[in-house]
Amino acid sequence: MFSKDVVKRFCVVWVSLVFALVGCSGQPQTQGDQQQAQPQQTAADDQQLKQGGVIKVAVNDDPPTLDQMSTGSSSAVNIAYHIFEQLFALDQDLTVKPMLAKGVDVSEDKKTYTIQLREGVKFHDGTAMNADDVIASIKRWGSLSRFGKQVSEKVQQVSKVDDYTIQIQLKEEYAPLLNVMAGPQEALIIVPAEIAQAAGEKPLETNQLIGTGPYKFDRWEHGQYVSIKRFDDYAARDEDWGGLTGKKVAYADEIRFIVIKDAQVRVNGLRTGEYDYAVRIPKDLYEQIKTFPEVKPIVTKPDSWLMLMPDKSEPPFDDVRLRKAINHALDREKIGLATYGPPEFFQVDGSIFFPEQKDLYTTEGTEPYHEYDPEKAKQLMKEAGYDGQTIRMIATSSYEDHYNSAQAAAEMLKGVGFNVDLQFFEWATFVQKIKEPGNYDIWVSGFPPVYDLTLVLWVDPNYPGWWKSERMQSLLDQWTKTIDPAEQKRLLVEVNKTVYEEFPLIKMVNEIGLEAASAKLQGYEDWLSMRFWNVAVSSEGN
Amino acid sequence: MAQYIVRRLIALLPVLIVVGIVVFTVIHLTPGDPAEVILGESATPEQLAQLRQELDLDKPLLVQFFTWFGRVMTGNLGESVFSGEPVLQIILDRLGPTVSLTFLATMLSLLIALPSAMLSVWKRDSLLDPAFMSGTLLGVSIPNFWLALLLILTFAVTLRWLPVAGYEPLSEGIWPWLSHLILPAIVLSVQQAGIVARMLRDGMMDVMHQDYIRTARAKGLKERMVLMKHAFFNAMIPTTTVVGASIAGLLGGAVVTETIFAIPGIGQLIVDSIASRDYPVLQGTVLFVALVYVLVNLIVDLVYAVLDPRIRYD
Repeated sequence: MFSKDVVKRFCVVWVSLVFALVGCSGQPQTQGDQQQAQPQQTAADDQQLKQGGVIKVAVNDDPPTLDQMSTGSSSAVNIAYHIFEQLFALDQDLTVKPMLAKGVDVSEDKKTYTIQLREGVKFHDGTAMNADDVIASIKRWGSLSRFGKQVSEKVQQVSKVDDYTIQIQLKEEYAPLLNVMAGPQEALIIVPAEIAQAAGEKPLETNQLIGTGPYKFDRWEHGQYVSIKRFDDYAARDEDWGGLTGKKVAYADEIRFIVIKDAQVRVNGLRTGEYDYAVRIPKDLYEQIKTFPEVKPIVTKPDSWLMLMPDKSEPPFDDVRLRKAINHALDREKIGLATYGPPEFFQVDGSIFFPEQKDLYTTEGTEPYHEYDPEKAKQLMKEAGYDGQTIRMIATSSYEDHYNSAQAAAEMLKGVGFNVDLQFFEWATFVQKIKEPGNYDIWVSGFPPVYDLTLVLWVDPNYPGWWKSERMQSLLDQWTKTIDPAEQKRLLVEVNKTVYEEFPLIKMVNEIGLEAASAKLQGYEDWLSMRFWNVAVSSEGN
Repeated sequence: MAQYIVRRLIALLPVLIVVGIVVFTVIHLTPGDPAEVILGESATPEQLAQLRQELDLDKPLLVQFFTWFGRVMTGNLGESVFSGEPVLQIILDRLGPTVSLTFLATMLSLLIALPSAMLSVWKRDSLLDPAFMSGTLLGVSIPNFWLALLLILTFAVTLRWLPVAGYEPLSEGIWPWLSHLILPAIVLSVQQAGIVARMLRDGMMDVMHQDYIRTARAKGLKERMVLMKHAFFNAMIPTTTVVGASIAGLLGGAVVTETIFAIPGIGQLIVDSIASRDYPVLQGTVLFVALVYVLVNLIVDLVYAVLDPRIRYD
């Protein structure tokens, strides 16, 4: 029935797979390396890309909602980027550029922002975007999004100058305004006024998913896939800025985000050509992926950073000496290796921002981060009078990196004499647990990038961990009053120094993400997250 | 018989009520709630309180229970906290893949188990029997996820005969439907076949010493006929129980297999609704699974009477 060749191939495959699955990982092959070495096509090659086809993306989770204004969940915003747009957005270098805005004038007293809007931008329902839509969206953002609420406290009034100009009057100078408006999580997305008003503080329903993006919402089969289709009336910008702003061309007819929870299956689907892109690939598959000629590894950074958050509101970690002791007890290299495996996927870096965030990144003042010294930790514990009481450390078992790093850190803390009781909870339980100080002494988790100092969650004295620092609050206050880069740099160094003297939390390592694309995907450029405009899928097999 | 069925159906009600109370209590006593899942760890207490109010989660537990229970009594299982879709509709949508998978897996397992068990009993003094025993042990012992990945790598990645994962409804054509389901069905059937075959073999071995078997042989019936006509049907009663339990289990969701093969079935639905604390969906689905279990048990009891005329329910 089958040729000898097929039978032979079948047998070889089975035997080799048995060995592969019991623990051997693939060896890099020249063929894969050659594929890897091929230069990536960039957006500059747009003219070579062809319109048509369906980009199939294997995602790891069904999004909770597609309303980008009400969530920061990456499973939601990565899809929503294609449907909605912001007045200002982040470019390739994570700096702020206009998107739906044409420009902005700031008054001399820095309290009045006059924003001109682009004309001729259409929503997916065919109506043209104007000042009324923008004002209604800003109002919704101010009452729904955590970041929007932060801004709305500073806003005196948002008013319409004409159909394509709005004015934001601030109560006081607030320099981070544009940075916060450009943040992609819980973002200020522009939707039609009547939808913004009807939805209010509830997440948008599927029939309200009307934006101005290059793709429009088509269908959502919960637990299976989300489908978006090309918006033919999309008004693209001329500039090619990359990231979430600039020129966007929708080449594919449809993008289908298919929920495939198993990472190995996502990779296998790429190899067979069933998917064109796959998210969240375990780093230990990196070496294996490099050997597959039909698959390209995609590095996503910045991704997130992991930390230990002590509860500073009560003993024992209300004593800064014990928090310092944790810092000295952690060998970051080992934590990174235990958590992520290949060294390409973590950075031992003490800054609270990421190296890619050119305007916000500095390592000055982070020197204590590198002081791994278990003896010093023991000495500090003795000085603080630590008597061996149980340290309740909690983490989630829902994310592998949190789980692995918590275990590695707990062992290091035990190594210097902390009596650690490590407990894991699934995500929903964990999120509730961290909100009550009595539930733990330390929690372990990670933070994704934010795009302004005021958006850093844990500088808020009410954030779980409860860091009440007059010094930090004063720095934040100064930060909101300056747009001078030199002064901002000085403040960032001061922030680092404050963090490494008061130790509100103890940073472990930066994570660098791994995703993968099929060789059929053309024009794709690595960035912090996936996006599929300026990208085409070739009909030729791989 | 009809009276018996009606009696059993009436007896369902207290079972479902108890299941309803237990699942409601357990899920509501578990830490975390949908508001926290929707809004995430950065949500302020005010935002959480507001969303809880919108979702009626701020009301006392007893009030929430009686509101839900009252609705269930009228056939309304409520709506998903996340998608707003009616729970019944969500369950019905997920039922197609699960029923398809259960049907295929059960057919495959019976196709493997019945002939191999009979062959093993027939050739019980040869090497075939120990080989069979080892085979069933292997079938029961192979972890589902491991076998699933092995099959995917072989038939989808290397040979490219079948898709890696996903589901296509029967309305899209027999081949798309079958090609997506055949690998997960094999995964599930291997374990099921192992259990069923062992049960049937042991049952047949037991009855081979019975007087009626001796009588059958004494009247000159061929060994093959003795096995087929007399031993098989008598050994099928305990086997039917196992098959029934297995079908009920699969209809309740084969979580690991559904996850690996991305099949949007009942198992996935339960896991997703637990993770997101989608109370109405979880409560409705667990009630549904309980209903399936008791109905399948009822059917198994009725099949007994067909297999063995000595069993009467009048």
